[in-house]
Amino acid sequence: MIIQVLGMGCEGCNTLYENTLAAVAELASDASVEKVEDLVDIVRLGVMSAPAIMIDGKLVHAGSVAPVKKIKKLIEKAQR
Amino acid sequence: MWTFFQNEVLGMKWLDRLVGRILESFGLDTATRLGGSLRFFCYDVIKIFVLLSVLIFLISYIQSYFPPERSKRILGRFHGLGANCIAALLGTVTPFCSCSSIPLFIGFTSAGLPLGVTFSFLISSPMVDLGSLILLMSIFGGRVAIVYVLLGLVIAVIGGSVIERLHLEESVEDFIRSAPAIETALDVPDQRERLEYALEQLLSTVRKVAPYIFLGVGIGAFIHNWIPEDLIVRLLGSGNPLGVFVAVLVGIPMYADIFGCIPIAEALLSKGALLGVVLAFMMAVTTLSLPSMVMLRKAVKPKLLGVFFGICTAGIILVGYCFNLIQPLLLG
Amino acid sequence: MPKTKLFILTGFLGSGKTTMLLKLLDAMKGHKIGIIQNEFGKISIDGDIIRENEDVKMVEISRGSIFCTCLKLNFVQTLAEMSGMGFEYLFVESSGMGDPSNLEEIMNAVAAIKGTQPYDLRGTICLIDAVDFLRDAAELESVRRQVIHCNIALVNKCDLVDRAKLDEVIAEVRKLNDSCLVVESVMGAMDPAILEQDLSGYNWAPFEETTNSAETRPKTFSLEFTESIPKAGMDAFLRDVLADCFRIKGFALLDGAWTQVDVVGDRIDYKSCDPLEKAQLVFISRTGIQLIRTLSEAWEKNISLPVKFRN
Repeated sequence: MIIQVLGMGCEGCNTLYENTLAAVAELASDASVEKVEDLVDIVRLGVMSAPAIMIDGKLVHAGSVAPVKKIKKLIEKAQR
Repeated sequence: MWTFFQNEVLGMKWLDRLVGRILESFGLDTATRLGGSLRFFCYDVIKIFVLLSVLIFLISYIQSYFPPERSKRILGRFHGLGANCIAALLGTVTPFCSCSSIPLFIGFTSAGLPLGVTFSFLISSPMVDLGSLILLMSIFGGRVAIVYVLLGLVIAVIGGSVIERLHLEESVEDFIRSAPAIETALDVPDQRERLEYALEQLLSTVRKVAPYIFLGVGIGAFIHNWIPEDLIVRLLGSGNPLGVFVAVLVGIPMYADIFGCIPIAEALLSKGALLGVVLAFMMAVTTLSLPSMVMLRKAVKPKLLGVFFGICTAGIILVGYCFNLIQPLLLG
Repeated sequence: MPKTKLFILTGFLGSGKTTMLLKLLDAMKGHKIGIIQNEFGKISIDGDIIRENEDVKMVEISRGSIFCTCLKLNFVQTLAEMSGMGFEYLFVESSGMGDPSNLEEIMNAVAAIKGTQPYDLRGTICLIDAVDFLRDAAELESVRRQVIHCNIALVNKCDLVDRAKLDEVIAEVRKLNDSCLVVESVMGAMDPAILEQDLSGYNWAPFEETTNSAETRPKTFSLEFTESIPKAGMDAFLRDVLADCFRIKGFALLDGAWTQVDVVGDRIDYKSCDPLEKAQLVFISRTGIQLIRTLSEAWEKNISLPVKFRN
């Protein structure tokens, strides 16, 4: 599973990235977590509100910082 | 009836009295400088946090009905000045993180929306939002708040139209024009997800904005009780015809949340600063902040950036003087 | 102990390096041969094709180009280690986007480790895909560098183009490298006797820095799946995504049969193969990070069976 956290360096984006790492660790998942900070990449992925999370190329969350619990639910949902 | 609503519900003056009484029961004389500052600090902080929480929750809930993809579709249906107006209105319900404004702008532009429309959106987004509207009402009164929002929207619409007339489409960075117009959309949320989203926004925004509020209220309290009135009047009040310019100049390099600015504005006003000066300061801080200019530069070439900056500044200064003139009407 | 004869194989994605190597191994049965296999993706696909036996030993270096700063040290150390294993020949199959301009520096480093140069560097063989070379060379610097820094230019897939096109390709090769030996080939076939010649007169290109770096590294994604996929669905999926990929390769269970999948440009090849533990496809992106979206949407649309993404 590829998890991409998109954001351009604002505080919220960093928090979302850390929360995602924590969620992955708590689930003992082997998903890879990647931080996408390049504006061009974010635009090309078609995302308009940051911070956002994409799992395996699908947008699952956008526009706010999600708590670890919610991210865990998103990951579990994607695994099914 | 309205005055009661304004003073007690929005202004929460009962809280002020309550805090005053609690402090006095501890033996503090709130008439003194220290006592007065403390009373103001406690009252204002609590008031702002409560109003903030309620507002952000409500606004975020409304926001969940307007994801960027939907805004893009709505805007696509309008033309001309009407489109600018709708864009300005939609800008008021945009998310709070400045990280979003640039990708949003790019998303709209690559979808083919006219430059002027996207700029109306971009101008109104930081300057005017429903949250600050209600907060303004609680401090300055309903009339000021409504005029502030209206004038903010006017700047957004006119600013966008001017940019449209100048035909600066070439000034958008190339990668945007060649970016695919494919949008990535989230699934439509159900009621429960909307409420969860609203709660998320509330918690994360409060966390982010809290230091600014404490700072703002602190400064406000300081001004309230420690800065002499005639100094304020001389610098920012009727004693200084260039007050608006000073306010805008000071506001530009600063970036602070609008919620943090309001207590400062409130304190300055009560010390004799002119209304226009104070509001111009708030507008300058939120719209013309250096960090957002830097981010915008990634999407837009210097020429367009300069035009955007110039229009906003001019608009804000004009609005500032406007408010100064009609102050007696609004607050009298 | 005589020095191991070292050959470097370069050539763009899908040009036929592995096929050629397999043919050589076949022709050179009985000799002790070492192979260093370089891959971009984390999963080494080619490794599953070349099977080791008592005479052939293989080491894989993946996750980048061996000429890039990321893996250069690893490559040098592997070369140093393998020099003491008594191989008659050592073939290095570099990844499709590998740029060997800095080979001299790498050989010097190996000599520095061992105290003396343990290898007899015989030459670099660059494989050229006659069908796509003109397009690829125009697009990518690393492709041009591969031709510039070679001793032998093996123009492969000559059976898939007409004489006129072939001459165009050779002319372009000559423009880049006027001293290399040009050999025309079909299916990577090459007379092994050529390898015994002295090829040093064919490469006059001086050392230069490689263009391989962390920034120029293409994005790769891989998909893993366990079930059998309907072949029609897979075909439609591949057609939807191939424009965004330099190369796609891997193994899949299609309509119940184990198949090797190979996509170069807009050509899709299916070949039946021996059963494997798991099915995986590696995609090397032409469009950067957004390939993952294309993959995700195309998979949903055409196949929509459970799949694991990896990068």
